[in-house]
Amino acid sequence: MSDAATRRLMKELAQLKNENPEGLLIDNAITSSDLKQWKIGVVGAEGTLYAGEVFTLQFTFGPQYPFNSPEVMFVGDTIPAHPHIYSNGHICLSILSDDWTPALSVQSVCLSILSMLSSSKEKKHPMDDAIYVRTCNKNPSKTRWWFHDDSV
Amino acid sequence: MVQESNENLPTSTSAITEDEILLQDQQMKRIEDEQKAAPLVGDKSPFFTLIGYYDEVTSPAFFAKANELAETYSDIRYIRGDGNCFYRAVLVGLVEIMLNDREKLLKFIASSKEWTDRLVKLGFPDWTCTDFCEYFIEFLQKIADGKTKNEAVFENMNDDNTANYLLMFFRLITSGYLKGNSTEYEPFIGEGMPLAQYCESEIEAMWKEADHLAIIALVKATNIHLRIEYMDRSVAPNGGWHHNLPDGDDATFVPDITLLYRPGHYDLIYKKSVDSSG
Repeated sequence: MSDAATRRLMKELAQLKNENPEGLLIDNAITSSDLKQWKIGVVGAEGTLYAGEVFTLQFTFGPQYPFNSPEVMFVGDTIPAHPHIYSNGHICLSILSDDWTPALSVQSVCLSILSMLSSSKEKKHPMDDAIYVRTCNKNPSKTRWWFHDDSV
Repeated sequence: MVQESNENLPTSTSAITEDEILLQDQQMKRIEDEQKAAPLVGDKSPFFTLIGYYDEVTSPAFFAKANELAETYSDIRYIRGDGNCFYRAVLVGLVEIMLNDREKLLKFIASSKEWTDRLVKLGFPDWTCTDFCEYFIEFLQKIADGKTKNEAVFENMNDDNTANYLLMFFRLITSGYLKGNSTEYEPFIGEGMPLAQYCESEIEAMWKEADHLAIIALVKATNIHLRIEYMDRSVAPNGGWHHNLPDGDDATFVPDITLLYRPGHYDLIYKKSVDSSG
């Protein structure tokens, strides 16, 4: 971690704890001692397909954060079944690759993912889940994504 | 959803094998290594060093132009070609002015503070944006307070981590200027792309080259007079050999900063002083 990245991540963590945004479990957030990896709980919003379900998002930050996007995926026993989330936890979301800007943050990423869950109309993984999970790189940022549907 | 270029086929990127990704990564790494061999901001070098890049026989036009420019310009500061060169060149040019002119320094600190408020009012993500602004203002304030000496200023600008924060401030105010004047500038964006989307993907994202719109916006946002000298007349927007921004008559226009444009790249150049030009 560079000093600048550490400084920024410490600020982000303090901000998250201070604001404690709805749907995020910040108190239970686990961060590695070098801040390089975070795990944050997200809770499905009331009135949606995932109401009350708790999932874990894992953030991995490179030394060039926030100028490069963090690597973000679902981890743990429960991966949400969603048309843009693969069963290995990889998430297809444009702000995690092409549309990342340094003005975004852990909080804005978490909230985008929560909103993506909320707008889902069916609980199922993408059509190409089986083949993707078998052939993809372990690092989701190595995947070339095609974003063609912003409705869910 | 992952798809190949044919959007009707619901297949994943399985067509790209691990080997191909590895090869692409290696190529990217090589290009990156080549870039990183050059400093972010070079020391001032004599302008004639530019002539050495061109061969009289194989690139006579550039060779002749470099020679011609060498009559007017004494020095050049090479900037690393990493997609940030325009913003970085303006940053360095401005900082150099401010190191020699305390009044301008204090004025720029004040206008940077105004920009912080303006960005928030324009709806930029609040604390991440103000964080970049505060970092930039602190950088200038330390110069004003004498806590950072000239040498350290250039060390800062040559340190990727610090420099990225400083550049981000410039990208944000460039974007902010366009967003604040969207009715005027939206028609210039191609393919019906909304201005906000253009700003986010082309300006606010790091390592994206500045196009003409970004150049105008940064000039207006920083209130500088900028001249760009072109090695190749065909790319100058007015068909001339150089361009004054904001538009100004050559006879009266006094540039604060002058950049040299070679296709795809900007460096900072310095005019001969009256004494040395004889």
